[in-house]
Amino acid sequence: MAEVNLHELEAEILRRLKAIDVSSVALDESAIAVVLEEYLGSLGLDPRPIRWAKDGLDAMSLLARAELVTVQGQLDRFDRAGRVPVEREQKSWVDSRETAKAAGCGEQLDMARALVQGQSVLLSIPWRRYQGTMTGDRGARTNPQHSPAWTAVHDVLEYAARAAAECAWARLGSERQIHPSFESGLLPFVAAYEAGLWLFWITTSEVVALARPALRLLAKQLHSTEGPAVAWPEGEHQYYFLNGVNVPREIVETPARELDPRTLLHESNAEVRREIVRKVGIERVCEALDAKCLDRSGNYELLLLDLQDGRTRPFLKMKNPSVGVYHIEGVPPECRTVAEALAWRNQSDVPPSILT
Amino acid sequence: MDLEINSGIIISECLKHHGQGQLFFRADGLAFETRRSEARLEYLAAHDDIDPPQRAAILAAAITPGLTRNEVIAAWGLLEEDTRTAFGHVTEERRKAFAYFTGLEVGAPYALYFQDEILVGVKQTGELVPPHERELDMRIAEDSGLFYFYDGNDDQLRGSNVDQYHMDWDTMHLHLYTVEVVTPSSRYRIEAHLEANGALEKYETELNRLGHTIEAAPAEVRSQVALRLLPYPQPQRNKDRQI
Repeated sequence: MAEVNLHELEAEILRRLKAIDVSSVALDESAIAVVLEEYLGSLGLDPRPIRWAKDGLDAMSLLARAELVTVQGQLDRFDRAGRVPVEREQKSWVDSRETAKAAGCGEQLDMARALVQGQSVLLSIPWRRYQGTMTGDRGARTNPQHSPAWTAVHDVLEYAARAAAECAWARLGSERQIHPSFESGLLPFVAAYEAGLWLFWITTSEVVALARPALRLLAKQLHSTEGPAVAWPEGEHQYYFLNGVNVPREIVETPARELDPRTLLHESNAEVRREIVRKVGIERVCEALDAKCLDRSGNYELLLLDLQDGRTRPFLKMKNPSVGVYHIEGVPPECRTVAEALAWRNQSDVPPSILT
Repeated sequence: MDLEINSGIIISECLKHHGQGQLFFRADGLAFETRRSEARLEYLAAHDDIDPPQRAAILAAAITPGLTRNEVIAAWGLLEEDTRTAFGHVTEERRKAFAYFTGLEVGAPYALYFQDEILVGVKQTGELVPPHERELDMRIAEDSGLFYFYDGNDDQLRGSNVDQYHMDWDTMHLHLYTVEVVTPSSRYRIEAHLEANGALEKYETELNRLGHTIEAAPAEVRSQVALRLLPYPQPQRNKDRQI
């Protein structure tokens, strides 16, 4: 590689990633095509057409029938034993990569990616054993993270961040050589990310590409009170977030005054319950569920709530000091004081979702 | 090429609403057999709140997207014996289940797509969801009250009488459940089970028809034939998940 000032190059990559407006995507397909063609060439692969997925689900649908080309370890650098990518042991490399990913909203995109990956699939369930969300396992379920599609994925922001990390690593020692694929396999992905590419997969006949979704953020968290926080312009499938928590669409789009506080009784996720309480207001929740205070201590109250199914159950009401909002959590039926509820909570790892 | 099953493809297929507004008829000529017709009429009599167009479809022994799963069963007159080879894949997104099933014995190769309990799509396809390779062992273990099965890291299949992912507080903490290794069923165990269900003779006849003897039939053929003949024990319903 020609002589370059690696410090300046790393700063330039960070500046470019930070400058990207993630709230919208102006997709530059021709610029992306140039980068991908060069990348395929560096891997010794022939050029192939790019097929754009409309959204994350569409990408999964396209990939399910595709024959994927897996390129493993092409951009890694291994130790002498060939096991551990050596740069990952280096603090300078890791720090620079993390900083670059953060600059490109990597954390928020990782949340979106987890949603695109989806839940596991219960395989080969007999027709007679189907019970909707309560269907039990029949011996086999998938692990989305280890599926062929996700082991063969190419993450453009990851590659761009590695370009910055290579600069950080190589400039700290005269004997260090920048990665041989830097110019063809890492640096061009900064431009590809700027042009709107997020993920891609190489198949035997084409490249399946997924654009970066438009992200709506508040204080660096995925958040939108008026629509999806993660959406693709042409996509049909969108994701809704409040304060960094993935919530059902209805919770976002129903005005607070029309949102039934009893919704939280059917929600098993504690963070989603917190967002419902935050939106509806703790006073309306207590009123709707006919709350009776059994005990009070400091910022905690033990409330007896009417579950609207003939049962009442104790719930611990507490103020989350970090975000300043109230949180309601089920505790075992025998709890009658705040101290008992806290003692149970501090010694148990049982999620509140399974309390009855 | 094997299809990679992921939640995305199941959900996106469900959201395509295949066959919206169309009627799909049972094609094996058994739709109006007496016992099926009686079951259909009983169902309709017990559910007088069904909308007229859907009621008309059910009466005609046709299904259409929008019916509930029970309405599908009533419309096609699905008896337990029609469903023994029907398998599907199930996933979940934000507490909504998405699933598709193939292999219902109705004379045509349909895939049915469900969102929770509602039929949201119907498609004709040759694709068949295969049963788990240990399905017959599971079917036999169900008679011992084990209804939930998990592949262990040690390659052993384990069965439980309680869903390990949806357990209530008492059941979990007081260990009110059992977990047992499900051993592969021997030829003699399979035959004893078939005999107990009055199906041994049919089993032998079917093996002979396929060119095998009861003594020397390959394990895969035994399994396929036995699965068609063994009825499902009554399932236990999971309790609703609650906070």
